[in-house]
Amino acid sequence: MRSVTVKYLSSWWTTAGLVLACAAAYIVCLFGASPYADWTGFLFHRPAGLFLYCALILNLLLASLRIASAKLSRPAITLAVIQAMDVHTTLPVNPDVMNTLTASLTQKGFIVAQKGLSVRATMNHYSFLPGTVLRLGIVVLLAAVLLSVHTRKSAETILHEGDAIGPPGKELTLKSITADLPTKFLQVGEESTFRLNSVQAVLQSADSTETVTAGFPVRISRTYYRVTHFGFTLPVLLTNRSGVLQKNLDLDILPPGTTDSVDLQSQDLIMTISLQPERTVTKGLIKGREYDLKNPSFHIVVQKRAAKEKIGELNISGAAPASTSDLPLSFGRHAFYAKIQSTSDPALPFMYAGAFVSLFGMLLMCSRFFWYGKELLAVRENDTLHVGYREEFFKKWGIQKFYDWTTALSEARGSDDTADHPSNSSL
Amino acid sequence: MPDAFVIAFREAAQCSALLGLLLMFPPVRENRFYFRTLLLGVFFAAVAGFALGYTTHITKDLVALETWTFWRYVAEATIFYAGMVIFIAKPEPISPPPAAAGLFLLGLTIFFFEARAVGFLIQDMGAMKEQSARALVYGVAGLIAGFSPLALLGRYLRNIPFDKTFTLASLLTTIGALQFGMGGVGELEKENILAPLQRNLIDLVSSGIASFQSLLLISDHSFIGVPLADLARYIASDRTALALTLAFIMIPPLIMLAGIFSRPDPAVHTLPAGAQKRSTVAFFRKEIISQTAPVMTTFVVLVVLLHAVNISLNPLYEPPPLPVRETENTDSLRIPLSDKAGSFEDRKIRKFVYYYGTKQIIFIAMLKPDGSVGVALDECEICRPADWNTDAKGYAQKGEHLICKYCMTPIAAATLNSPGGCNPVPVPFKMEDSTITIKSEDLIGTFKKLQELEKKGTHL
Repeated sequence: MRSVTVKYLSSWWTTAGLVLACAAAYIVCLFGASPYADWTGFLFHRPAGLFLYCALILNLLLASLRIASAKLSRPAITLAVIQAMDVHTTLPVNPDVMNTLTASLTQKGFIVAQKGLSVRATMNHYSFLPGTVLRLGIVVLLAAVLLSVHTRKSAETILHEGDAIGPPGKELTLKSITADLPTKFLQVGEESTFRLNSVQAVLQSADSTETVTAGFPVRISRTYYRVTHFGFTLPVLLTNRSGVLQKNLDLDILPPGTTDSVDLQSQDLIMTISLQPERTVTKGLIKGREYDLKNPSFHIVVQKRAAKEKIGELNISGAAPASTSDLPLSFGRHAFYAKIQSTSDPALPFMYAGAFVSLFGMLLMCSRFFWYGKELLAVRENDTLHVGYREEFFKKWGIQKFYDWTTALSEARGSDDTADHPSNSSL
Repeated sequence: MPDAFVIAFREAAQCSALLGLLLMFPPVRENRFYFRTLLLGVFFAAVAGFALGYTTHITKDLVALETWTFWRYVAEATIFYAGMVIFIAKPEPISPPPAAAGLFLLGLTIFFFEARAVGFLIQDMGAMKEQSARALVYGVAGLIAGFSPLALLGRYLRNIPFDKTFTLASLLTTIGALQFGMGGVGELEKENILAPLQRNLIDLVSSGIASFQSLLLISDHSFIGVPLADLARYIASDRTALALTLAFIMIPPLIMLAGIFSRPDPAVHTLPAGAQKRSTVAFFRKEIISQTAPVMTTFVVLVVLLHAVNISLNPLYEPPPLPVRETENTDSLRIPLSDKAGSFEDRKIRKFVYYYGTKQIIFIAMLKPDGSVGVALDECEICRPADWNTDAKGYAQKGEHLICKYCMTPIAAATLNSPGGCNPVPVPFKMEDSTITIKSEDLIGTFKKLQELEKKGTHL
């Protein structure tokens, strides 16, 4: 009973059924507003979805175990086993037949084991490994994703130089933010792509200093840190009845040409801010704008919030603070901000491991075109040698090879001892 | 009214072609019980489907057109893949009652959805022209006429060597492929399964990749370099969706072809005479070629289908226009940026159609690269294709460009809403609570002004 249950649980038909059920769930979700979110919600948070997902993991695990145990096991060589192979035949026995067969197979690269009246010859015995590695990677990945969905805690914080992040007692202070901002960025039509290859935030704790980037996350005290956004910060001094208030405006004005708006409710003002090009180059119909992003200039338009009426416009250079007598505002020198994602996730290393092992398994699977199992079994019963042969793939060619071998063996022993007509199980 | 006859005749004739293949399949042909059960399934499909479609006032609130189309896709895909499952599993012959039930279901499936659509169209035509009885008579006559060739040609079909060419697996896959091509009634459902399949795969793949990047804590960023982002973008592109669509339609015939050609040659070593050996091998090869014929036919049908939906050749994205009308008690069309039909955040163009009397005003809307919305008529100020070339009218999308389908001029999406040149004619609109609001008088006015223009482009 238990073996039947395991057989069905580890079957590829079960895999196909489970994958089909997951696909059907996605199709049902297509009727909703956000199919992918609904689908992942079903798979990871609903009992039926969790059952499907866990069953798929279990199925892949059991399938790997089933395949590995089948390949590694050495069942007794009987006539029934031989007749169940791809092709089998009988050879009349002469005193040398076992030795001839063994020598012939060894010459062909088989590993031959002779035990009493039976011979087992195998080649590429461990060819199941690429598939096992691939499935192992997928199982680890699927399990890690499930664990991550249920245990991950993540938050994003905007930090300026000097700000602190992290739990009390283990605080990290942002020491510096650097980025490879170009001195001369020429934006021509839509063709020029703005890309920063390096944004680095140096986080300092009491005992160490770590550099966090927008690349792979950095692990500090069981928490992963990563830069998820970067931009300019412009300090503004607001003058109102209660005095002067300083505020840092974290602007989203990259790539150049993007405009950000800042709502200053207390002042009843709205500001729209963008980067001001250093110069505009026109050549024929093409117009390009050149920005110095190391020392940027800002273009600021100030409007009355309620009336939506423009009350002032100014350009400020990054070199010096600026203010205007017309407006109750003055601006300081720009700085940078970085949005840091801090994530606590025990499954993250397993996810990377699973992804890597799966990828490695996929590469290994290419070897299966030429690395596949071959097995020849022979057993002597009375005056007859029963021989059977099986190849994992490309069976047609394997059967042809078997015909050739048995014919050669028969001819080597003389015309009287020709092999019987080989029976092909597939025919 | 002859339209009703033509539509019913066409759908019935298509079904009778599929039915012909099934009825001539030896196990069905030689067993009267199976033969009658299959015919009963088709008859039931014709009556039930037609009645459901015809009594649209009862069913329209229960099942929308999209839902019928969806279930048609499911039915077609099931038949197509059933062939592959049977080919791989090689099940034992089943007893007559379940086999007959399967044949009844198959007969039902191959005509039910078409019969429903025909019933719906005939009811609609009759209601429009206030000649319901006449339309019904024409429709029923069309159905009868459509099935009559099957009865007349039955004896000739018997001469085709179905027993050598078809297996149950290849028969089902061939019927599934033919249904992909012929399924659905053009007047109602222009798309076959491939177009919506690819569209949904694009969404699934891009959402899946973004989600995986987020899980690995390497989410992409619009201007900061992120490891493996280029690879992720490549995988999440339309190419992967196209490859998956191709895999969906090509895997069953490929598996069958591989299975047929990998059958081992017969053992001829011990046959005494050379002629006998050659004859055995020749018979075997002939059998393989015969069995390949339906699979190759499936290939041809699917390749033609791919071309028909322009998946492989046409890189332009052009969604079908969605009908819009004024919201209740207002004179404005309101289009939310995100709803059941999708989100504008994908930066793809959306097309909408507004029915103004007998005219259709098609307009486009999209989220431009700078994050603002653009709305314009789906018509150029300059180009006006000839009446026979209406498919070349309007715009499609390629990457971040709109393309005039007539002169193939690329237009930067950022300039949508700017008048002049090859740009689409802008339509005034307002944004209110993440909803595009267009006054119908503005839309009609813009459309009328455009119609009055003498266009300068070549009028081919």
